[in-house]
Amino acid sequence: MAVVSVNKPGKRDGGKALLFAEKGKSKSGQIPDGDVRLTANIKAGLHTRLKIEAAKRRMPLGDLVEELIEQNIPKI
Amino acid sequence: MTKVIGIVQLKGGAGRSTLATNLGALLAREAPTAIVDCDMPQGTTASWYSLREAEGRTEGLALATVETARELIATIESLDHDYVVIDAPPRIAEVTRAILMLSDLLLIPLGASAAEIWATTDLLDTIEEAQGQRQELKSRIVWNKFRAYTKSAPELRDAVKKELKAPSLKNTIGYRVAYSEALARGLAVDEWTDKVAKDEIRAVVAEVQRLVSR
Repeated sequence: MAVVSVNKPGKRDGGKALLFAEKGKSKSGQIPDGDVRLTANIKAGLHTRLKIEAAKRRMPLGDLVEELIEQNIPKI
Repeated sequence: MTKVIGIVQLKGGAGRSTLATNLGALLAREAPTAIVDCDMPQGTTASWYSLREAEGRTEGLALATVETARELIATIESLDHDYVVIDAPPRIAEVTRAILMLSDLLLIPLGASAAEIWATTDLLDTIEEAQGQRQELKSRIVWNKFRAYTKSAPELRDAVKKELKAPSLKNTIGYRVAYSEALARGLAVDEWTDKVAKDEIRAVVAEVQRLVSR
């Protein structure tokens, strides 16, 4: 793709756009940029173990699931 | 100067990618055009582009994919095409808000269904917030899957005009299977067989060109 690496002056202000964009940072219940929502049915006992482990490590469930995937499943 | 056209709609299936791909393909015949697909990993527009690329039909047309607002801003700043068409994700995410600040014209595809109209209300509030900072930002609803011969379609169009105070393009996109058939083959609808679809999409693109050239 033909691109130039200079910022164009004028009415498109990247800094202003970023400030405006970040005002909409994900609130509870929304999906942050770059993430997808995972819904899966798992055994109640496994879910409990997951929640307890997340609480012990003081981390959100999603972060723990990501960590377990990183540790156990090879990168594509 | 690059004209940036953002295609935004919070409701999935409203026709963002249909509009983005057709607009991109038709504009590229006249001037260098880039399409930026922000709806990753779904990437309907990016998939359409891959099919098109395999057929050697990408002359004048480039594709970029982005996932975050920062990536989008950097991409838009680096593109030197006459037209940039941005296909937004179906949510008010940071990247969508960035699109509102980077576009010259926002197109909001809208089908004649209550769910799509409700979703559009939230979006119009955010667009108004952006227009508070950028008075030059234009927006237009693009009626999609529009069945002009039904009683309800013109009524809904009038209600949206009156109650949402959102201007629409004069030209509409009809309810035609040709759009999905063309998309699935990496084509614009005017490269496919439906003559009516061909004429209507050309009219939509001409109207969009007039709006961004003012």
